[in-house]
Amino acid sequence: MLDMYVFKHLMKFELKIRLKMQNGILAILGENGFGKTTTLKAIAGLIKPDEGYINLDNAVIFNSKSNINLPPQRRNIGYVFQELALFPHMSIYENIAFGLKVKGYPAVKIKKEVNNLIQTFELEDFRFYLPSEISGGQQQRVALARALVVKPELLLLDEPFSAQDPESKRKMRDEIKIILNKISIPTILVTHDFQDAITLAERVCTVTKDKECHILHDMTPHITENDFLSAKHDFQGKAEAVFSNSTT
Amino acid sequence: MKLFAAIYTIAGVIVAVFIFFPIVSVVINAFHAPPALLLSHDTVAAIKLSLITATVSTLIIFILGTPLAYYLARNDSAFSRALDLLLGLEMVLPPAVAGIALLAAFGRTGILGRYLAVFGITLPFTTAAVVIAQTFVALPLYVNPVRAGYASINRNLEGAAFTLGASELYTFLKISFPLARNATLAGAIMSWSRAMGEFGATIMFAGNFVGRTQTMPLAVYSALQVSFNKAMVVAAVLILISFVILIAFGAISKRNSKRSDLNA
Repeated sequence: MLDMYVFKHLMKFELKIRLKMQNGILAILGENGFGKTTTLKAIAGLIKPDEGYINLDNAVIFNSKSNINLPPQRRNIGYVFQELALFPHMSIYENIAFGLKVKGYPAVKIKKEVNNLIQTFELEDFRFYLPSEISGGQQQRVALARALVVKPELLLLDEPFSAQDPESKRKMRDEIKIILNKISIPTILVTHDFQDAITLAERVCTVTKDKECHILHDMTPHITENDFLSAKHDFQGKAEAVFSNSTT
Repeated sequence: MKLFAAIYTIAGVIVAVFIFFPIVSVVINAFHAPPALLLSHDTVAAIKLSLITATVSTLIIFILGTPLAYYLARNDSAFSRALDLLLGLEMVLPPAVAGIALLAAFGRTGILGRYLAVFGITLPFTTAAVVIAQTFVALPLYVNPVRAGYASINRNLEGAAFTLGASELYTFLKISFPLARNATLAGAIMSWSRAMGEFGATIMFAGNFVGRTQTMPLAVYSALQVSFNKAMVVAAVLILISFVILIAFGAISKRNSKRSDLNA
């Protein structure tokens, strides 16, 4: 369903990602600064890779050779940002309804769909609150609901629990897992947290550093195609030992 | 430590006296002037003209300056750097030089003015020239704070809107513009007050004709030639307007800090 190869020259290193995934939840596990966010933004269309291709459900959404670069508006990919990026001046209801209003849906339909999500995500008591007036966990659910309301073909989660303390992180991880299982939309989760990856994802692929570049670039992570190796889950092992057999 | 405390206290007192007394002197003098002066035909005309031209200038600045500020906040190109340089130059240019420059460009024999003359359009010494002079000098005072306002908005908010299907214009109208609302208001107030106070460029490019181009600062200058009291009355009205601006500004910054408390 998602088949991509992208190359982008970044300030500190070159990003090279080859990824294939079917349905389900895939976690990309890697240390901070290896280009996780860049990868997700490339998939969502928020940044343009230097070269490569991205195919989603057999449709070409990016291809440098044939000069195809669908804007993010036409990709139908849900994106939950690391810092959530909720619209601070809009209520919880308005945040979730945004994607439907953009599409020009009739008010009755918007109300129905948004209320359904508000119920699913247990946000009934906060619909008129501003994002700044609710807890981090609730904000998390709003961000997820806002991304899901437009029924995306693919969901991207960027470090979903990075701002949380360990206790609420564990709780939210369980909540999000239930929701993700319920909605069954193909999801890519990027994280540096081993527990996040193995709890939420069915498949985990990891990014390791290229040794040569490691030395050359002074700890700068470097992704190459070879980093995506095939292997079985190894939950006892270290992060580097976890590979997915669904990625190439 | 004590010595330094003494230094900054003394400096504070000197500055306070330096600002306070001239302003109070104008107000006291104005109170002693016969009220009829305030209602004289040319004073009323100057007040009216100033309020209208400054407001029209600010509207033009808002319409041109808002997309410009957004562009400058979001782009780093040769063109944006050139624009930035021009705005900086405009900011430091002495107003009289700005007036002469406008005359050189839009005057009857000016580089652009001669082509406008072909269509029968003459700008210098008209009310339009007042608006042009005010717009010219006040534009950077709007663009700079508004640009900073847009630059401070998390770009992922716009990215989130894009992934939800919103066009760039829709995103600007629903996300970026409302979030830069306070900066926009601050910029508008700053450029409006600069336009209200404009003197040098106006007198050079628009002249000093009662009812047509004589704004309040020009009226103060003209009144001083004939009657000290009359100059005081017009000046006092300008001080009153400045005071109202100051209160509005204070109210906005108070609301700003309240909002940022809320968003923290």
